[in-house]
Amino acid sequence: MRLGYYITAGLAMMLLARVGVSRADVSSDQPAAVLLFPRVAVDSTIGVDTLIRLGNTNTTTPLNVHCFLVDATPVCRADPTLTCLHDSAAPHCTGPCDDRWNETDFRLILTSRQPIGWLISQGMRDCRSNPASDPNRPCFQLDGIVRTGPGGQNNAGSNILPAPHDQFIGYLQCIAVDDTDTPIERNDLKGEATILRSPTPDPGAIVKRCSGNPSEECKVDSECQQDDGPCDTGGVCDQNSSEKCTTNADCMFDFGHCFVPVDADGYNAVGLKAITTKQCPNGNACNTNADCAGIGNGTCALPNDHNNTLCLGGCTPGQGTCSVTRSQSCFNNSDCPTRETCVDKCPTSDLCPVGPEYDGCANILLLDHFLDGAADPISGLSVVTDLTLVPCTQDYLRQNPNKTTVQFLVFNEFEQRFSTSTPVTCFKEFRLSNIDTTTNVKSIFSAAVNGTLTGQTRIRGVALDDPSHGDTLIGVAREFRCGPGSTLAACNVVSTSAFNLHSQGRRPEVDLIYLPPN
Amino acid sequence: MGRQSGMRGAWLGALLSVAVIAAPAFAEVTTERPGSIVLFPKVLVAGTIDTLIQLSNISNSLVHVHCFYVDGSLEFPDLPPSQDNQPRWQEVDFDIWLTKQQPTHWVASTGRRPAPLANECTETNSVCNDAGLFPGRIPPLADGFTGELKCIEVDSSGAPISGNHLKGEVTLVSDGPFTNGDASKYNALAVVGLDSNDADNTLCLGGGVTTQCPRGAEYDACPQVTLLDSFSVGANNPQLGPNSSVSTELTIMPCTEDFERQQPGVVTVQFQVTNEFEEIFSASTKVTCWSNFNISTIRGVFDVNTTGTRFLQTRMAPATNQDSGFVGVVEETHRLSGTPGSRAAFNLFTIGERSVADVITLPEGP
Repeated sequence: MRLGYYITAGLAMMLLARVGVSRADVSSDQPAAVLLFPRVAVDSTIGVDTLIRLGNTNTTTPLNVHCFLVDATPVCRADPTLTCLHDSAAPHCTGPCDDRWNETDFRLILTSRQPIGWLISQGMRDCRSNPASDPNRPCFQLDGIVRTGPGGQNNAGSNILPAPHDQFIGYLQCIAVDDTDTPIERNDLKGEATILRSPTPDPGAIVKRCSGNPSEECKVDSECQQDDGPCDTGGVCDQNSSEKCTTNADCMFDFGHCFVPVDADGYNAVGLKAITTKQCPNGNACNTNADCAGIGNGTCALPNDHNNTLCLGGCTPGQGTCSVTRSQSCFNNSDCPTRETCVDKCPTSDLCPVGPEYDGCANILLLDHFLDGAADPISGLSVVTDLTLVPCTQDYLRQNPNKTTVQFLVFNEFEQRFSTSTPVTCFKEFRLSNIDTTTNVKSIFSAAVNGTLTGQTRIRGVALDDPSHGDTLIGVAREFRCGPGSTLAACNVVSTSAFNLHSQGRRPEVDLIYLPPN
Repeated sequence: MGRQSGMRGAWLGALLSVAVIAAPAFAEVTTERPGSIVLFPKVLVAGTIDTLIQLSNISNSLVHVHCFYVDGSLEFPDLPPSQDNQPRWQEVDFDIWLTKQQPTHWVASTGRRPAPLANECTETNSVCNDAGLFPGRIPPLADGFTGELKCIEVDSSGAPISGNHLKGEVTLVSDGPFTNGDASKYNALAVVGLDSNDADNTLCLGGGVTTQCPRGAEYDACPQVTLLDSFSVGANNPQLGPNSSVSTELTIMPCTEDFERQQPGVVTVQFQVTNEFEEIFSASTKVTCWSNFNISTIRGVFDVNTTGTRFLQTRMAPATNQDSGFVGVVEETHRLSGTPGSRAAFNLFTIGERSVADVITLPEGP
């Protein structure tokens, strides 16, 4: 039974690849109707915040945006007031943790061409409600009363919620809607995220902490447990960064100041484009019903039905391929050449009766990375990489995250292949060398096991035959250069650089975003 | 059951590979999908910055690659660009080979040499730069190099092909005394090859049938509009407060290049800058060969005293169809007053494709 399904699905994929609308996949370099920022974080104890930049690229028309900020901060099973963010300097859990998936949503209006930016910890409000005593807090400039844009457009009614708590990690999804909150096919949204780790406010009073467990203050290395790395401030003298310091007095001979360096990394939001071309029932582009004569029900229409279920990718229900002329799509035998039949039809779907409304997520994600523990040949620092994965399917209606099994295929520079797998539910961030083992140096992602400096990893969510959700993923990678005394598990971060993943292929199964009712 | 699972996997594997091969072409240059031409717009071996290049074959067969470094540094780097101080536009090319799914890497300043006795990475040895299958000899770049790298998928005879098997990343790493290890990273831009590729030395990116491109487009087109979201010059970072600043460095690389005659691509880039008040400012600059500049050098349209808001959205496009198309990358430096700061690189968003062809002319082979 399942084999039959897979064969059907596979053939449908061939069909998808060969016929129908020429449709791109997820995109982090083109404006889109649905944006996902896969990783946003706030932690005041280590000076981490995330700056979100969002823009409407349309040159004439304002855009309503409905955003969902998802709190995926794991919490302590024994004490839910404690988080499980092990990089935090706040007290955190040392026992078992539970995943969390709480979303809060908000709405905003972007005028034509308008760029905005806000810190996740602060959100953004109307400038009229912004206290004068807080001039640095970002607010919407075009309130519609005191000020409007040149074309009379404004941001009235916009209100971006801040992260619900400190020590926050999660993701942000924004969807183009109309003024009734109905999803619309406007590919005008673009965005970037910058995650910044900033110095402590008072550099003269930098506290020493165990580098692998920042919640532990210390005075000397011996106060840190073996896996918690050396006792360190992270502070350096600004005139000589190889000189560590705790206070400005430590930098006297360099005539400098003690500071913790700023560390910034950024990535582009990942977009899903809405399908904006009218289509015949077979997925071919059309202008009028006349172009669709004899095809299905003969109507030429946009595929987006503007309801609260967004269909990402997948195949068009009822569409098959001719039994011999495989490159030709069909709905009925009469659509095929003489003596051929229409076979391998895409199954009907109650959720997506007309097929895809938005681009689908990628079948495979490609990640090229330093193997954990390899030394960067330029700086000499060891490098580790964290990967963040978020399922493409999102259920904001029932708050019902699905578990996806993720398969990893790792190739080193000797062309040797290793593989492993792990489940992902809702949101997951992991150090590559912790995917398959807790002993990082024994991991198939470690340089010590692979023997080479870099590797290429293919990441695939395993497809299940459940029509209520897909199993593709969206992700982002962050590469850390680690200072002296670091281990693969406890990196004393010197600098971070984030980058978007590459993607390859598509699949016949649909991913879905379920929105709450208006 | 196990056999059934195996068959399932085999079916899916076979069909997925079909899907990958047969997938329709994408319209524009991309930073997230493999392609047949890979563009690395910003490669620096200058001052405290060196560049680490990563290039991978995403296919299950051997891939041949022909790469060109182009030095875009000025004849007199310490003087401002002028009629008498143009970029060198000096190209150096080399060939490499990547086996099935092979990733490789090299440091721009050292290149890559055969190292049959290179140490592998082990638990006690993390210095293993030359370990792995040797991809081919890669020339080192001299100090002061500021320019680009372009890699083209070719067949065993050296003829360009539309295999779409290449992807790449660039890491710009500082090894200076005050900023050792500070790194920024961006994805190489990939140009997807089309079935119409005639495998000659004239590579047609987008456009229709012309004398130069008798079969029309052989590769996807360069973008019509490139979008830059940036901080205004002089605006602070809201997280770091009033004693902070953010500087933005933009790198522009024309799509048209003639390696045979050493004729660089030239483009006049038009900037349309929109602030948070939806007010529009404009400016332009001319780029010959390659350019890397701080946006503060583009008159005053990016200045916070002019724009009045912290964030800007800029649309960039070639001034005319006679200009070359271009691609680019942006790098921001966030710093507190008196500190070195930290860099973060971003790929640029794009809209649409150019209606006219950009042409890369390769030197004649043996």
